[in-house]
Amino acid sequence: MHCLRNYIIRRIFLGIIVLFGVTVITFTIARVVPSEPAARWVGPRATHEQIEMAREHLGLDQPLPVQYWRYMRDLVSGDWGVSIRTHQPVLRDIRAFLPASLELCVTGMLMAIILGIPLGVFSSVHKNTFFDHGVRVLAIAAVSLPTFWLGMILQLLFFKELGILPLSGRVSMDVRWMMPFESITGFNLIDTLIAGNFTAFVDVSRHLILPALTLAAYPLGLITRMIRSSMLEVLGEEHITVGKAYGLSRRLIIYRYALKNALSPTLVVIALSFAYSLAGTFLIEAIFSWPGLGYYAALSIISVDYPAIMGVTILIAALYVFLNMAVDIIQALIDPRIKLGK
Amino acid sequence: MSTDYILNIRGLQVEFNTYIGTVKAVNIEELNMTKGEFLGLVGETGCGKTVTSMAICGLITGKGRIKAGEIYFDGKDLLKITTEQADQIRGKKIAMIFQDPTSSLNPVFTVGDMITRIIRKHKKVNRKEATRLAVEAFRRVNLPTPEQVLNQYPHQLSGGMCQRVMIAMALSCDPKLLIADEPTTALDVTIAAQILDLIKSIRKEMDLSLLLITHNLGVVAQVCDRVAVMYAGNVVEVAPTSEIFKEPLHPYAHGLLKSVPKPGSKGKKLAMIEGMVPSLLNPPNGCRFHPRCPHAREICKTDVPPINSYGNRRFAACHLIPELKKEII
Amino acid sequence: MTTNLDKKFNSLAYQFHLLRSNKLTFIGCAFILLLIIVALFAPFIAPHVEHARGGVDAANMFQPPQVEYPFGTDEAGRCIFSRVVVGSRISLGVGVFTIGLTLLIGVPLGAIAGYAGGVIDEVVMRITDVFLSFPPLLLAMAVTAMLGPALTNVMIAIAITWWPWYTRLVRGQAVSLRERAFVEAARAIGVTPLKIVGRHIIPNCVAPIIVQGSMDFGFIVLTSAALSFLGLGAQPPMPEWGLMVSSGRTFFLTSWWVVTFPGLAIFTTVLAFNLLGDGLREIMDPKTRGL
Repeated sequence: MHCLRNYIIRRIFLGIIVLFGVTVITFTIARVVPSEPAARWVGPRATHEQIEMAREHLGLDQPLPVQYWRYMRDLVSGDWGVSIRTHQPVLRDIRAFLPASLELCVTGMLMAIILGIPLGVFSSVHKNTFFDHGVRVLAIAAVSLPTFWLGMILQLLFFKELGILPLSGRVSMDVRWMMPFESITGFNLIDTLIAGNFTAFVDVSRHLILPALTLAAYPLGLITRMIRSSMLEVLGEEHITVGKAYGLSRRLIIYRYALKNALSPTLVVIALSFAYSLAGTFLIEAIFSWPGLGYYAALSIISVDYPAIMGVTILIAALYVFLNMAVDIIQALIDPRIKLGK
Repeated sequence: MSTDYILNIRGLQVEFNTYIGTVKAVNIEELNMTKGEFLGLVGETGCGKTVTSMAICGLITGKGRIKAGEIYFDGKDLLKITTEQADQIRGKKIAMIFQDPTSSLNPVFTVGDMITRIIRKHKKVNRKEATRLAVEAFRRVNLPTPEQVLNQYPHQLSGGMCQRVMIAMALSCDPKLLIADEPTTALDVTIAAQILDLIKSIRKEMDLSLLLITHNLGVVAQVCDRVAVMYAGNVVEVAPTSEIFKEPLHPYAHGLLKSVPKPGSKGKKLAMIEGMVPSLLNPPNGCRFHPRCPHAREICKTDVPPINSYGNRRFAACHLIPELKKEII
Repeated sequence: MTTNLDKKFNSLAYQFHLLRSNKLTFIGCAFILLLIIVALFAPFIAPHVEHARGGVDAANMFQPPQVEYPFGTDEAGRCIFSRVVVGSRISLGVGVFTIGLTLLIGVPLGAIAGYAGGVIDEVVMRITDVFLSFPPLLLAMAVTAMLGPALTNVMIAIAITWWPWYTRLVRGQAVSLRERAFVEAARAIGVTPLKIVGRHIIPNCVAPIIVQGSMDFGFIVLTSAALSFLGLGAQPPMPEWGLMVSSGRTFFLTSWWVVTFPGLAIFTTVLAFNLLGDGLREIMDPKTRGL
């Protein structure tokens, strides 16, 4: 057990170092942008003295390393700065917008996993059949779709032509006005259930379908391909032949013995695509007017709101790092060879 | 006839379809084993011994197919039974152990997992009983602390221990036929010797027939009652071990046995068989060995040699044996 | 000693046979060739070339697809077909240039890191870790925002985002190669490390680089289209496909063709490269060949 604990500690340590590097880069990028944050803070008709005062207030008159140190110190203690645009604490802004993005990502990833794994397994077992070829084409196509285009096509299809799904937003106007529900967790699916508001639940779900589907496309392709190729590799290994030689049922061999081996690399793909989709919510939120982190980040970028930009970037990068770490650790738990430091 | 034999292979032809043509891997006229017999199947790499064992266990997949033939096991033709029937036989009546023990076990499951499942399936007992039987099986192959071994992973065990696990798994359901494909090749000499002793001791306890596949003649000499020599997909000679070592009839068998270095032959050039194994895409006409045979005649190049009996369940496939017998001795 | 059998399996004919027998890869290859031809002869293929260079025709706004305008016209009356055809030059050019830049940065760095080992290796690996821990799109956006919205900046940004993958790839190869006999021999003769890296190590990495590169080409086209869509890349009136989708966004519900065809162009291009990359990978990796 020692080895496992050491491995985890080492991994976390590495993650923290990487995170530091991330903050340095983000900080440098944000500060190097040639614009005048102080002026934006005060507003368009500011006098010179007001701008100077703002600069001092925001600490922009200090040398860069000092600014970085101050920023990191505040960050760790929970103060993520104040948004130049909204004049609200960045952390509060983020907390307001994050759940929408998370809900989208989680739903999309679940769709991708629930569809992708069975498709990949089935495809690998029926290699070179019509079905297999079809799945492979589907997977490659899914990975080649431009997200923004897919979203629009889905809108054209399901909203314009078929009229069965809403165009954008998280919730319909009428539901919002006539049957509002309390936003406790920020996850509409959960909140509507807590409030017992079934009509709202249906409405919210309908709004979630298209964006989640758009988001699910890329991970679906990746997951299907990864599971398929992993399974193919495992199925060629000797221990599978041994299982067959002893008359064990095909189902047992495929779904238990082979799949567990194949899941390990797939987990990596799943985590990576989750992180990727978190960053890619940008495009989807733009298309579907989804009020999430991407929307907030877009506004921040346009108004060069560097505390907000920093905050969002660090959050997403931190999630990314965290996910990678979690994957390594889960892999160690699943695959006993890593656990005991082969 | 068939009731005396535990295994009777007749006219077996196995082929593989590849990009460059069809590989005619195995072409066995007849090969049989009686109950309780230990038969060694020897030959160079690529002569078809593993393919034969795979055919018996029904493991020919992918681009390979069994073109023709019958494999009678305990009276039933294995090539004509359904998948369900095959699943019943595999593991229960016929068990197989493979060459590399560490890769024969699933790396992400404990070694106990597969053996308990096999026992549960074939003996139809519950998990607790299966675990008990597994521990017993481990004990029978002299694995120390069998209960603990059950919960260990393959990479935690040495090669020798893994092979014992495989043997335990093979014997756990009291099979009638055990096929061992190069069981000691991946192990070092001392461990190999232990495994061979184990196999010999098992014989005393169980009513078991063994098909031992190897390219190592020393192993055959230690363990087997009879030896079948394969070359390029054919069985060229079958004989009781003592007789073939004393007086091999087929030129290939002769060359094979002569090429084993003996103590006291220091300084002498190693004997070898000229030439190389033929490509099985286009095997030579007539006798497949004729390009390399020092005694080859015209008839060898055109006619497939007949399989003649030479006494005590001894067969050889060569046109020239009666003449050669005079020369060799 | 290679036998006849070995020669047959390594021959070009066999590789081509594999390529041909994998119909999907073949389709991808064929499409890429088509794309290259279209890009080369764009001015001759496009019926209304001037529309791709800024010409407008306000009288013919929002024409649905018809004989005169196969893909319809956009909000400035420009022929979408012509713009898509000319836009192929941009997309291919961006891909080639970006990959070139990425390789220029990533490959030497990886080779040096892998060959030198020690501190240099550690430092380079940590740097790649940091870069790789950024979601690619995010980093590209950040760099583009910093440098200013322009197509060239997009290419630089993507190269900055992508080089770590190649560094990792090459470094791995370099590490395994540096112990090989021929490298030691070169060292013994006194060949300078730089020459060893350049002459021996890098050429041996060509195969995996090609596979990775062809797979990445699609992603690069996708990312640059996404960035242009966000307004960070190509600027109007460039007929860049992503930009076309973005400008058409306001009207797409009424004029579906404005968005559908440029996006379709992106999709099929990326698809073709992904098919090719996938097929190349299968050829190079004997495990998945399944003889």
